[in-house]
Amino acid sequence: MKTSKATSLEKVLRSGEAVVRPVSGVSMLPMLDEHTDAVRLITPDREIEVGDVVMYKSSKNRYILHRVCKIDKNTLIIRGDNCVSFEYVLKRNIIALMDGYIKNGRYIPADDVSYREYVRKVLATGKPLIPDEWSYIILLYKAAITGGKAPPAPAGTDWKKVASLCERHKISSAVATVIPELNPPPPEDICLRFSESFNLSLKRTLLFDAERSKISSGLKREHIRFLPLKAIIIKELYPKQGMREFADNDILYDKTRQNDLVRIMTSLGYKVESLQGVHDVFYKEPIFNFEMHKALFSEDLPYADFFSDIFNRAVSDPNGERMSDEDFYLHFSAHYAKHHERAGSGLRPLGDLYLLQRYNNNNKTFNRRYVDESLEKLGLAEFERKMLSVCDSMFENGQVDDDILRQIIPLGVYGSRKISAINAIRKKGRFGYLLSRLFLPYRNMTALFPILKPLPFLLPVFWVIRIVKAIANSKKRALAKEELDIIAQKPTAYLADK
Amino acid sequence: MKLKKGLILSEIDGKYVAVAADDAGKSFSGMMKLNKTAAFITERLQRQTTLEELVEAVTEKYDVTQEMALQSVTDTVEVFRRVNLIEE
Repeated sequence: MKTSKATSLEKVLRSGEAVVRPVSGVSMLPMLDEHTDAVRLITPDREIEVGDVVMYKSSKNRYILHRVCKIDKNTLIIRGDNCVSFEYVLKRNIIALMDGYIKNGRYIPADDVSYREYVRKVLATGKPLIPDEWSYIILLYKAAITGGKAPPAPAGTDWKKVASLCERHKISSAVATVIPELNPPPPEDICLRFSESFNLSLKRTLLFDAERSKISSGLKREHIRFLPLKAIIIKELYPKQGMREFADNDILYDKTRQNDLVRIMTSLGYKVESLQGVHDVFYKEPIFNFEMHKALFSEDLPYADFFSDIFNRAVSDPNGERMSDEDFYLHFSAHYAKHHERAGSGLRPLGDLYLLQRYNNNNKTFNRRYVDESLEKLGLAEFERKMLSVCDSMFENGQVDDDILRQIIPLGVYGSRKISAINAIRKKGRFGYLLSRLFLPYRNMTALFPILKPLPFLLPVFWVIRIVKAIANSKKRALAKEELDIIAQKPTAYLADK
Repeated sequence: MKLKKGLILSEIDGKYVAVAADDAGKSFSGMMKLNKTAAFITERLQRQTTLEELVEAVTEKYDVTQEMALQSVTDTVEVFRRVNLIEE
């Protein structure tokens, strides 16, 4: 945890006075939150002990406020409560000792009994602490997915945090189904927040279903082959309608019929948002976003080949055609792996995976051997094993290994651009990363601009076009700015250490 | 009278909800929860009908007095009228 810079800080401390300062950063979470909390610092008036929070100046002249975990003669071994790595600081370089802190407006002295209990826990765990809310969300989600009963919330649960995390993971409408049974019930505003999420999701589900049936009829009338993908199928596995949130509907169609598709969609009132890349995007007010895929994966991904003849392997269905259960599972796994590796992923795909796996296990004709061989071929066998074991501990036991929780929970369902960027920055360096983002390789560029395919010498022109297009589009501009900020920033201690 | 085009009525776990798309969606963007009788009336309102026909249909279906049926019909129609979902 870094305190804000102040040249007079050390002078005031040396004069024997206490200093109260706001904190910044995340390294001392969950104890100190930079939005609300402050610390009271004094010049050490006694020997530093294990468990003390101390301040020192880093080699970059920044004040660091972390906890002493071990003492080795004159060296203190220090770690932020939310960090994984240690710093080694000479005792004589300690500037201040925290003798209390202000949390949510309340002053807590360093000898407070419950604070000492927290310190004991931090030191015993030796790793960042998992907030109770994180483990509780797993129990709520488990109950929602498996149809079980959710246990009451642990004392002192921060319900706002629970609700926001569920929203970030897009599991609010699933969790909402177990909220009314909780005893004691959560605060009224929280119950309302969950039930609104559920109602919204149910409404979207009904509207999208009706809209999709119009599109399907249009495609069938014109004899255009198509396969429903992802959420369209997965949502049916959830115990109740409306539990599976989704942003859009994805459908794979016969790409040789693009013109006919555009005609059908525009006749249904859709605006063409994009016809480039691996899927065409159509939008109709107020909420209808349809991604009509020309292929299941762009050519630069290793899975593209395996799925390129997916129409030949389609099976018939009362509503038309669909992927076989085996291929659907393989596509789900590959798609999940793609998101997981690029930017992390949240809790929702684990719910999907659990329900898919359960459905397939109950299906006697499911060809597990074909799936296993294909997963091996796709390089996904290890990924699938890992994720199934997370599912198992989460939905069977309601417990997840802390390290996995630490990876999954803070990110939310679409992971984080930050994680994706930091992973890449670590590999390529800041400048290398910036270059790689500005000047995409030819293969990726042809996915965005198919017109470029026969004209590779125009690549530099399309680099410029892509950048100009990004600047012109406010949504993309905001994303680009966010990414530039990440490149400029020093990754936080916790993320950097992961 | 009848409902504007685009009202979608669904039965979920024995409960009824209605959402609106297309023309109806321009007037109403929420979701309604309906009881069985209201759902029955809504179903009938998808095509041109009259108050009398609705009352008769409800009386037949649910074995209730005309007064009770009229109450249910007017209540349901009033809800739809308030959100501008009824075409006269």
